[in-house]
Parts: sequence; structure tokens; C-alpha cells
Amino acid sequence: MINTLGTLCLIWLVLWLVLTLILRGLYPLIRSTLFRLHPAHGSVLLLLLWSAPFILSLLATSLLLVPTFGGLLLAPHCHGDCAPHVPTTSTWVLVWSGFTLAVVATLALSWHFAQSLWRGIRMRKQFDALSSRQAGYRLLAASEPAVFTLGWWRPRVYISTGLLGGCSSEELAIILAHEQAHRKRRDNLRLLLGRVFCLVLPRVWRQSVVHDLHLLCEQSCDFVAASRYGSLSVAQTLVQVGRVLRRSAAPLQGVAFDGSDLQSRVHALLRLDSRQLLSRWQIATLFAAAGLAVLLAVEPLHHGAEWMIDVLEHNMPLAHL
Amino acid sequence: MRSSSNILSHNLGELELRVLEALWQRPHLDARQIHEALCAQTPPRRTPGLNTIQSTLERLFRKAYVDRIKQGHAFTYHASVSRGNLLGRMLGDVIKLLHDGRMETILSSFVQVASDLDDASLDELEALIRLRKSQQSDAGVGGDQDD
Repeated sequence: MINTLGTLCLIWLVLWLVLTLILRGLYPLIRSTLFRLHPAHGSVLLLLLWSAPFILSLLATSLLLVPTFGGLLLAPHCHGDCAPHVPTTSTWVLVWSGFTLAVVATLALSWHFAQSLWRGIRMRKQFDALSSRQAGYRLLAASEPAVFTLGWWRPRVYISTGLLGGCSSEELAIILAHEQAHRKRRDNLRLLLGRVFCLVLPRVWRQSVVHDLHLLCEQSCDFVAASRYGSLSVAQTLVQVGRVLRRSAAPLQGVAFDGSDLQSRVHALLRLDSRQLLSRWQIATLFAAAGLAVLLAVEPLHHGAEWMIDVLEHNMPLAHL
Repeated sequence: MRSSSNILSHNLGELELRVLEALWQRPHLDARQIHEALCAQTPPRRTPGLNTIQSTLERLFRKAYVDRIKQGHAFTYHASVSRGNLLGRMLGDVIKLLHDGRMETILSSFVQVASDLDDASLDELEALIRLRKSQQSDAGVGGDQDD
């Protein structure tokens, strides 16, 4: 039992890593397509895309446990005897390495997720205690201009008096519409999940993916506000808030505006009509393709795992202990 | 060094903030008076005991958020940091952490902070928006609701 479990853990980890590296290689090609879609769909697809290596590798590895599927997914074959079998090594180094690494990886991801959740909850409690409830947002009595959404399941919008002083009532309505969209979409939770799924990537690659997800979420909320107030008004508000924040950021060393994001968001709003939502059949095709890929992967994965186990068992110095 | 769970440097627990709030409303209270003030604000089952209030005040004193003066056998406390000042410092932390990318997955900010957009770039964006507005007016589009 432990031999099978350890082997499957090892297969899952290797497959997860390989799929992640393949996706990272293809990502520059896929990225431009994602940014041509409507950001509401682009952000969902991006999150699904980066969760795919983890989820699909887990699914495909689980399917290996069902040895033949009546010959549908895996052609019957023999290794000495012809009984249905699961790729398994009896080499304890491989078994325990696979098992230990899988446990460590799962714990690390869960720990990161739980720790971030806790940090967010603690911060929300702090700002709640120092803010007063208003219609649709919480007011922070501070001269520093700030507006943000905080919280995971029931996010809240926080606006400082410093920002309110620099905005008209229409701009405030646009800011609230944008932040309420974050609240409805639970973007903070999406971003956290995206970050957790990308933890296996090196830091620079991970930051770039999380930044893309963040930008698509922001654009998506801009588009929601634009559907109510018009894209040019939202773009104008972005620039105005940019000016207010820039003036206040001057005393903070090294802090100014995320110009590239602000520019991308304004340009996206000016070309709002060019970003199309996916049709239902396109979404269905994507899911069907992913499902089919998992089913078709069972046979090569089974034989590939057996070949890899054979190579490792014959080349590892400790394999025969 | 900040621990990973205390991302804000001005990290205060819920009870510490409630005690500070009581002192901002009425300075120079002793532990018993603060306990009474908290009892008046919240249901009795949610109000911490007097000993808990005393240890909270001790923590706040060590962190330099409150000062105290001995009067007879007891200390009276007053906040050494104003509400606005504490909030300003916390917001400053949030802005810096957003800039570092450490807060990106905890909160969503309407416009984020970084380093490559100056007033000239903002002017250019504004000019672009004005141009688009005038194009829409020329084309006879009634308001930008129609974009």
C-alpha cells in the first residue's frame, strides 16, 4: 500500500512540475490572447490556467489507480503476469521520497494559504476598529489618501477622508462601483488562490503571473464601473485618483504610482469594445479539451511512469538495499 | 524584524485597539474605569475581565502606545499616539507593502503605488481621454455611456 501511495505521490509531483514548466514556456504566447479577452473572462481563465498543472496532474495520477478502465484508457499489457496493475516501485528511497515530498508540498501550500487568510482577517479587524461605517464603505479618518478593499469572503471597502477631499461625488460613486465589483467578485480570494498555485514557480515568474491576474481583476472591475458610468468617466477618475495619490506619495521615499498599470487600465477602457466575452460553446470546448487531455494522458503516463521507475531502479546505488 | 503574521509594523490586537479607543474618548482612566467603559459598549459575556485589561494596558505601555501616571495605588493611562496618527502610519505601511508587492494578494487598491508614472504621463493620459470625448461629441454620440 505504502509503495503504491509513494509511487503515485512521486508521479503526481513530477507531472505537476513538468506541466508547470510547459505552461511557463507557453505562457508568453497565451498571455496576449488572455489580454485580448474581456477581463472578466480573462481573469477566470488565467486562474484556471495556473491551477491546471496542480489539478490536472492530481486527476491524471488518481486515474492511474484504476488500472485498465476495461481497456478503454489503457491497453491491456503484461509484465511477467498479465494482471491489472498500477505503476509501483518497491525501492524504499523512491517511495519515501515521493511520499515525503508530497506531504511537504501539500503542507507548504496549505500553510501559505492559511497564513495569508489569517493576515487578511487580522488586518481587516484593525481597520474595522479604526473606521466608521458609511453607506457602502467604511470611512478612515486620515489625511493620507487611500482606497482599498480588504477581506476574503465578505470584503469591505475602506476610503480615507484624505481621498474623499480630492474627489468629486461622481468620482466617489465610480470608485465605489469599482470597489463593490471587487467585493462581489471576491478578487482578494482569487488573487490569493492564484498566488498559492504559482508557489512552485521561481519568485520573478510568480510575481509576473500574479501581477497579470491582478491587472485583469482591476480591468474587470473598471469595466463593471464603466457599464454604469461610462468608460471615459472611469478613465478620468483613474487619472484623478492617480494625481491625488501621487501628490501624497511624494513624502514617502521611493513610492510613486504604478504607472504601467494605470496606463494599461486607461488604454483598456478606451478600447473597451475590443474586449470580447467568450461564448458558451467556447467555454464548453475548453473544459472538454482539458477533460479529454486528462483521459488521453492515462496511457502515456502509465507507461512513462513504468519506464522511469525501471530506469531509476537500475541506476540508483541504494535501490537494491 | 516583523513576523510573517504581523505584516503591519503597527500591529495591534482587537482588544488593544478597543482599549486605545476608550482612552481616545476619555484620557486618564485607570484599568477599572476602562473595564467599565468596555462593559458599557459591549454585552457582558464579550467583555474581557479586569486582569485581561490590565495586561493589555501593560502591553500597550511596553509598545509605547500609552503613557501612565501613578495616582495613589493605581496607574492612570492616556494614549501617547493619536487616532489619526496611528491610522496614518498604518496606511503608510499598506502603501509601502503594496509597492513591494507583499500586499497585492491581501487587498485590492483602486490605484496602486509604484514608480514609473510622472505628472507628464498623467497629462498625456488626460489629453487622450479629452481627445476621445471630443471624437465622441463630433460623432454625435450622446455621452460616454454608449462606449
